[in-house]
Amino acid sequence: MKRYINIYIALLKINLASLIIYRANFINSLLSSVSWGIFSILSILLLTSKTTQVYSWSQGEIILLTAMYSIFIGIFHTIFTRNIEKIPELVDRGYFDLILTKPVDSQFLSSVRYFNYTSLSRIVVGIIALVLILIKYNISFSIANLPIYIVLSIFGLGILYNIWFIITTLSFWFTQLNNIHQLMFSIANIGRFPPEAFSQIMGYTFLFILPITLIVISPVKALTNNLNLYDILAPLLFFVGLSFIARKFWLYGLKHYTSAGG
Amino acid sequence: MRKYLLVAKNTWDEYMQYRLNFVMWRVRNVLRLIIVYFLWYAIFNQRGELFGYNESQILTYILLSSIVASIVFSTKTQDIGEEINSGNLSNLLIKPISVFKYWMARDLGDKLLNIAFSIVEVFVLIIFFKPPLFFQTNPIFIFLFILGIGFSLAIYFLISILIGFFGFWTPDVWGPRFLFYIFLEFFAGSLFPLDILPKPVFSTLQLLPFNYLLYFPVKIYLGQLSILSIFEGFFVGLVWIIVLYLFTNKVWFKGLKSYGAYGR
Repeated sequence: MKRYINIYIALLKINLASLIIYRANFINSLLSSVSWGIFSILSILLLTSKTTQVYSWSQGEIILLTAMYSIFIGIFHTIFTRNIEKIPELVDRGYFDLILTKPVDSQFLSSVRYFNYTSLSRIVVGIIALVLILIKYNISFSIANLPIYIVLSIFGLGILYNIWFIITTLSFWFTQLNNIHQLMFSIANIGRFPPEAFSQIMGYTFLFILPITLIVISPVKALTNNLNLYDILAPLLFFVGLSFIARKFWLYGLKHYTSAGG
Repeated sequence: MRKYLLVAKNTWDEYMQYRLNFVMWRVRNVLRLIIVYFLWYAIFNQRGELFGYNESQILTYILLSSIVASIVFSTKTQDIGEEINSGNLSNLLIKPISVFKYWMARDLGDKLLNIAFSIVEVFVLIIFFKPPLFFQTNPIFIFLFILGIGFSLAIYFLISILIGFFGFWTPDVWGPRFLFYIFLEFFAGSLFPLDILPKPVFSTLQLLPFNYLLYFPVKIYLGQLSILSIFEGFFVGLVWIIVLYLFTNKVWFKGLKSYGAYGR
């Protein structure tokens, strides 16, 4: 475990050095991240400006959900997105050999090799919006619930990571899967809205969407003191179950890696 | 002409080669549409009118803008920057074809496939959710709507290749393109009709080209613009097309002079 922590610290340093070298790239990423965060919050502010309630959620809570989503997805993009995005290309071109030949777990290295510092700006935008919303809408929240909020957020990040990773593992069988990530951005976006919004989509589709609807909602409920047992157990079970499936599927996928072009 | 049709067909075949990738793209679009649809459905719940729209008008706007987005935004021109950076542009320059027509032909293949899927998807969603819809019966508005889409296609094509031309001067081509997509997402009118924005913001947006990509043609279909406003819109759109065309040509020739075919 200590070895992996040291490796991760070394990776953080390498990524910081690369950030300083490629300054134009850094400015581009920063502008994009900040604009996206600001526009997301502004558009939900606009859409809810003439309504006091959407399903059982008040206008303030809906906007709070968007700000929390911005923080959540900012953390996810910072740690995981760029890494998972690279996997299909690495597998397709045979560059994945470089991962496999290193004396580190391949899932670990494929998932955290790149640390996207610029996405931290998205978290900052989310936190600023969060503070403003809490003040403006006078939403009460409990500091005592902060630890459970953090734990549920980790479950949420784990759920999204595992779903994204399972789908990306398909690239061991199918080449040129670069649209996977566009699809996953849309799937993750579901977390921005109350789950009741999707209750009309019946059957298996809703079951597929269910874990995504929990990733941000449960931590938000923890912060606003609306938590019940289901909001804790469901994310926990999905997190454990999906982690198991992702790991097994990844190991199975590795057996099908042909190293073509490598 | 035949060679360009062949290019369009080849683009279609490329998609068919990587079918799962294409399916994922379409699922992504359906999902995005469902999210926006349900968001508006929830906001409209039990209200007669909101932002000057009734329920059927707004749901028609959302579904129709999704089809128009499929027609306008499906493109292969996002590869131009990469083609310049990798030196693959040289492969096109040495062929006896017009590079611009080649990219248009690629777009044609891309668009035809996406339109076909988009229409089927929206049709299935209509059957499944049975939303109240507005059907335009006035042939003049339908004709002007189609003409409006023609303007959208031209404006989007020119802006998209212009962004690709950044590749002549920088390897970071994705940055400007991503920023462009962010502006499209919010200012083309796919999430909401632009006239629900505060008036000064809306007036400013009317002068920019983004408004002509989705909002303008869909509003024509809904019959919510007067004939005078429509022709005003066409005039501003035409000015944008001319300006963008001249500018794109200028940038293209300037870019070619600095093109070093690195990597070849």
